[in-house]
Amino acid sequence: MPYEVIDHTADTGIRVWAGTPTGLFAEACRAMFELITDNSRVAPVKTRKLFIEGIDQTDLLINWLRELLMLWSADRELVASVQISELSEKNLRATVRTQPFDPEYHVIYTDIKAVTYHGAEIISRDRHWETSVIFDV
Amino acid sequence: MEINKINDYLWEIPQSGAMNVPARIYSSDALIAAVKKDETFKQLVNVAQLPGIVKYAMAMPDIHWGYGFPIGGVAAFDMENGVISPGGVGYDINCGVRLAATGLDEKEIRPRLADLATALYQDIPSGVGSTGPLKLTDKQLKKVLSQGSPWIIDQGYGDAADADHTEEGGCMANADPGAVSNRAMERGRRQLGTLGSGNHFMEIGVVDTVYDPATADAFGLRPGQVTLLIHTGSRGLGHQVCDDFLAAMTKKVHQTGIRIPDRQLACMPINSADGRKYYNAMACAANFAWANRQVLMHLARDVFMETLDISPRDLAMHQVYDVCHNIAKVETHVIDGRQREVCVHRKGATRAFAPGHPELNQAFRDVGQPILIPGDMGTASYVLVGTQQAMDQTFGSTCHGAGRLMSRKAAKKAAKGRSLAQELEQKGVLVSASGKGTMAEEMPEAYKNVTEVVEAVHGSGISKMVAKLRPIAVVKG
Repeated sequence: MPYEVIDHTADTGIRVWAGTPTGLFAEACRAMFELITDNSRVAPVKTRKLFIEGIDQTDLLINWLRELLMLWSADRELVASVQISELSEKNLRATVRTQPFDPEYHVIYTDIKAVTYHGAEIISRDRHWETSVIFDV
Repeated sequence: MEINKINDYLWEIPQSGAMNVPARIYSSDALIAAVKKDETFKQLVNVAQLPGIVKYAMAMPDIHWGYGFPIGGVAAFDMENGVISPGGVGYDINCGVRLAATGLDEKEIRPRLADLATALYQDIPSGVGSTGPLKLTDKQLKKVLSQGSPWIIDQGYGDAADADHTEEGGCMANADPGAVSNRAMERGRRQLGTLGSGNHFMEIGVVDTVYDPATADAFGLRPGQVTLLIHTGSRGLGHQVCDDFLAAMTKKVHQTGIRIPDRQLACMPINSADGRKYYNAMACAANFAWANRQVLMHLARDVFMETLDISPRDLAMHQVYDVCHNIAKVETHVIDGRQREVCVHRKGATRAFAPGHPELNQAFRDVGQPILIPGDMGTASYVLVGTQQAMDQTFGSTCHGAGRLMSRKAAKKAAKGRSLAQELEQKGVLVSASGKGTMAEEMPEAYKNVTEVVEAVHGSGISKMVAKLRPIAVVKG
């Protein structure tokens, strides 16, 4: 499990890590949606292409999670999988597979309402990338 | 970190390092111990570093660990060289509380309470992804954003007196729908008249204790009376406004030379185009929230009349007041002996204007502003009144609720194997929640003792206790 849930008094968060930046971005997405729902019940039905920009890698990560969360909070779709095809310091291109939310079938554990910048900072050393992300719930 | 006790209800962190002002914490010996354990004070020290902050970075007794600004924080900024920060308001812009009193007594509704609770749960849209009773066109939604409660009342959702008994009359000035993104509008369109999830609720209560009979009378409250309390905010619309401006300001703040100790404190000068645009969008979200609570109260009024089969005259439901506890406002305060305009950020803090304040409506001008403090679902909620001490010390601000004590994870663990609904029912409170997880996360033990919080603000003099409300039925999102 390359992430752990942070026990924050009012909200919730994750500490996530991976061996590559691409892995970190993909894991952060998986962790966020595992907090929201039972991922095993989400099937890749729809395909969406995302292009994300940021002022640096941490900003890019937060913007990436914000856009993914938007699929849930604005469009009522749950993310099944992501394929990151391009990742630089300030840009990301990805294909995201989603499924429209079905209240009869999908389970919502926590309705994450926003991705915050609080305390987020990607740290890298050798082959290890890591950051914390706090969510508003 | 150096924390000095000034008196029984006030602590200070002296100015040091990059702080522009000292930090002050209103608390009590019992409450401050719990706060010392986490990052809350560091967050308060970070706020004290923002440009143009006036007097102190302040915390109310219900302060707890937030992100960027702590929750329960108050900070005022100079209009010339100060900043405005979306994170200093929070995601749920104008999250707030509305209290209505009825002409009914507890004994009259007790026999029908279960039916009433069920009907409220069925008719009040709540929970994840719920949608409201209104289908708003673009033009109508813009009216909600620019005109708030008064407009929705004109559409048949309440009485003019409701708006009069609302902070700002239920409509903040300078609300410009043009500053609100399409995405925020889309998220808001289907959510007017919904409670939402998390800590939001609607509660039927009873006036249990009156501490200040004269003020309670002026507020229209008497012992034994049935009340309705609504706690919710601007829903997805407010979240989107906050998110949009946080992202934009994160990009731009670096160009201004302002150094922020945490990205979540992203801000812009109040007198910049970006600062003003945020204020105008935030005011729209605030107006949406007031209209939201207005629609919810109207729906609840209908539920009461239908379920109890009584007329509006018998129900005699009238709004006591409506306060917001996540907001930034331009206000005039006396600072070091002279009047100054400042932008007061209240994040998890309530306005507490004193008797005689010109911005109070006629009904409360002489007595002071009603303050509504929701507690957890099993304990109590309180009605307080604003004081001159609040004007002198806290930019007319006080606490906003109990404040969390346990994380959601810890609460779920503590709730394991227990039937919280049954436990609460034994205490005389009927609770309906859309999710079992919500019940556990929001259990009474997860919160600080609201009575201790209220006693701390009462003791410090920044507001005075008027009445205590005891919950008898709660609808959770």
